[in-house]
Amino acid sequence: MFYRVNMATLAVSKDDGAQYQGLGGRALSSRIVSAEVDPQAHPLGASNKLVFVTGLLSGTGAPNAGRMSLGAKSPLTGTIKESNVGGAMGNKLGRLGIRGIIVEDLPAKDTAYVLKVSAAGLVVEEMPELKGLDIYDTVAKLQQKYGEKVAIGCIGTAGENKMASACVGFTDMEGAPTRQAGRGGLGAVMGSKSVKAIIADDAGTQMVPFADEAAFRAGTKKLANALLTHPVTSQGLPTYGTDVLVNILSEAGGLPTRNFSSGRFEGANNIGGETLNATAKERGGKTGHACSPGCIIRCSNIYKDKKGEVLTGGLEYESCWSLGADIGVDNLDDIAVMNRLCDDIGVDTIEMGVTLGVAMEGGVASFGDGKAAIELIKEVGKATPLGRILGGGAELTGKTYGVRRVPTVKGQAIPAYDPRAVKGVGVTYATTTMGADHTAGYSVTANILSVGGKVDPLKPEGQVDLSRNLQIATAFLDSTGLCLFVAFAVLDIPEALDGIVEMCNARFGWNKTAGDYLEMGKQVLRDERAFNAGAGIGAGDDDLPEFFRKEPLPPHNTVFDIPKKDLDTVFNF
Amino acid sequence: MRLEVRLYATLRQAAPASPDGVVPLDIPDGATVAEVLGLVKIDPADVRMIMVNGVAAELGRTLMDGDRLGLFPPLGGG
Repeated sequence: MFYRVNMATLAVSKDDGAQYQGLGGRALSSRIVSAEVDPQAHPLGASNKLVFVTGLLSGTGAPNAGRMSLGAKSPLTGTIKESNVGGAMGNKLGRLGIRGIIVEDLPAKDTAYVLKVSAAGLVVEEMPELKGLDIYDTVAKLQQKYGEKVAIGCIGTAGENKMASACVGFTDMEGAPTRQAGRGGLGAVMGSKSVKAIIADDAGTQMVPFADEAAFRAGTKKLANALLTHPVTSQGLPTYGTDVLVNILSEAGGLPTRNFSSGRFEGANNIGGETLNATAKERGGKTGHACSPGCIIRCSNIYKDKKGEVLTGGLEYESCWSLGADIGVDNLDDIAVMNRLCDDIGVDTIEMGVTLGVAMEGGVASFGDGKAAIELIKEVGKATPLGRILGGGAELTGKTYGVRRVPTVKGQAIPAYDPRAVKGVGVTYATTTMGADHTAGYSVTANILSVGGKVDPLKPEGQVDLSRNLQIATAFLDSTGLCLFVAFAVLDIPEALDGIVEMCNARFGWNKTAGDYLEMGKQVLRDERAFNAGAGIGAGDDDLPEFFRKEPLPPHNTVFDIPKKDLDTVFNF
Repeated sequence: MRLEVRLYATLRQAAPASPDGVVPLDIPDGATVAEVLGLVKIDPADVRMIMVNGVAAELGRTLMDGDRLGLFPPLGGG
C-alpha cells in the first residue's frame, strides 16, 4: 500500500502502487524518485518529492530487518539520494502494510505538519507548537500526545532552516531519537515541505502475510545462524560497537586526521571502541544495544556523562572520527556532547565533522579545540550567518574560507577512511551515485578487515572490481530492509545469502535466484545513474578531489593512483 | 631487539598491566610474528588482522628492530 500526501492541498490518497511491484527499500525509493521527479528540479522546490519506503523484509520479524529508506533529490549533492536508517519505524511501517509514503509539493503556509500513520490510515495534522523545536523536544511533545510506543521521525531547526546537511532523526526502541537518516540533506527537503514529523503507530496490526511461512522461517534460521556464528557480528560489534574501527584505521594509516592531513591519530585510543566500552561500563551506560526490533547484532550504545546521566546514544565510528580525529579532538566526552547537539539540531555528523575540519583549516578555530567545536555547532542551531555556512556542509564552508583541501565528492563529505590508504573505498567514494558514501560499496572489508577475501589497500590493483561487486550487492541489500552489517556474515558464510534469498522468495511467493537479486542491485544503480545524468552529473564527476592524487598521506606516504579511465569502468555491467 | 606490540579489543586481556594495549617487548633477532604471539601468550586462532608498521602481514613475517606490530581479533563496523 502506498500513501501520497500533497502538501499544497493537504490531500491524502492511497493506492496499491502497481507500477512499483517487486521493489523495496533503495530499489523502490530510487525508482519512485527516478520516475516521478524531474532531475532538473530544485531540491527544495515543489517538484521534488520526499519518499519514505520499507524494504522487502520490513515487518516480517526477519533478523536485522529494521531498516527503511528515505529518498529524494538531494540539496547537498544535486544527485538522487537514498538515506537509510534504523530505529523503530521501519518495522512498524512494514507491519502496517505500507510500502511507501510519497510526500509531494509545497505547503501554502509556513507551519509545522505531522504525518500520522496507523491502521486507521494516514492523517495530516497541523501542530504549529512544534515549529522551532529541536529534535529531542519535538519527540518529547509528540510522545506526550501520541504515547511512547509510537515511532517518530522528525527534523530539528537545521531541517526547518533548510540547511543542506540536515538529517531526519528517528526514535530507537526506547523512544530516544538516536538514529538518523543522516546523509544528503533530506531533513532540508522535509523542512521545505513543512513536515516536522512522521509518526507510525502499529497498534492492532497482525503479522504480515507470507506466501510460504515455513520456507520463510527456514531462511530466517540460516541468516540468524550466520549472524550468531560470524565473529564480527556475534562478538566484535556487540562488545565494542562500530567505534572499534578507530584504532584499526589509525593502525592501518587510513584514519583521516586533522582534515585529511594524516592517516594516523595519536589520540585514537582515547576515542576508540575499547575506551567507549570501558566508559560505558564505568558509568552504567550500555554497549550491545539494539537500535531496531529483530536486531541480533546489537552494535549500538547508550553513552552517559560523568554524572551518570544519559548524554547520547548510537555514538558511532563515523561520528567519533568526524567529531574527533578529523578535527584533532581526542576527548570522548566532548565528542558525545557534539553528537548530541548534531542529533538534536538535526545535522549529519559526518558532514558536520568534516565541515568543522575544513573550517579549522580555514582558521575559524584550532585543531584539537573541542570546546570551540561545540560552540560552532551551537551556531548551526542558532542559524547565525556562520552557522548557516557550516550547516551548508564542507564544500560550502571550503569555498567560503578559501580552503584548498576540501574532502568531498559530488558535494558530500568523504567519510572515515582515507582513500589514499584504503583505495577500494576510494573507488566507491569517487563513483557512487550518492556522493562520497562508504556504505555504498564498503571495500574496507577486504582492504582492511580480512572479511570477504583480501585486497591490498595500498595498491591500485583489484580495487575497481572489489568496489563494483560491493556496490551491486549493497544496492540489493539496501532494498531488503536488512541492516548492511549482515554483509559481514554474507561475505564469509554462504548460507547467509541463501537465507536472504529464501526469505525474500517465501515472503512474496517468488522463485528468484541470488543472480536475479543481484540484477535488482544493478538496476538500482542504472536507475540512479540515469537520474544523475539528467541532473547534469555524469561520469566526469566520478573522481576524487585533486589533493588526494597529489598530496602523499603519512604514514604510508601514498596517493590515490587509480587512473580515471579505470574508475570509468566501475559501471561496466 | 626491541618491538612495540599494540594489542586491540579482546586481545588486550593478554596484557592487563597495559590498559592502552601498548607493550614494548625485547625479542630475539629474526623472530616471526608467530613467535611473538607465543611470547605474549596469544592464540594465533584469535588473531584476524596483523599489521607491521601499519601494513598487513602474515604469521611467518620476520620482524625487525623498532617494528610496530598491531594485532586484532575479527572486527568490523562502518
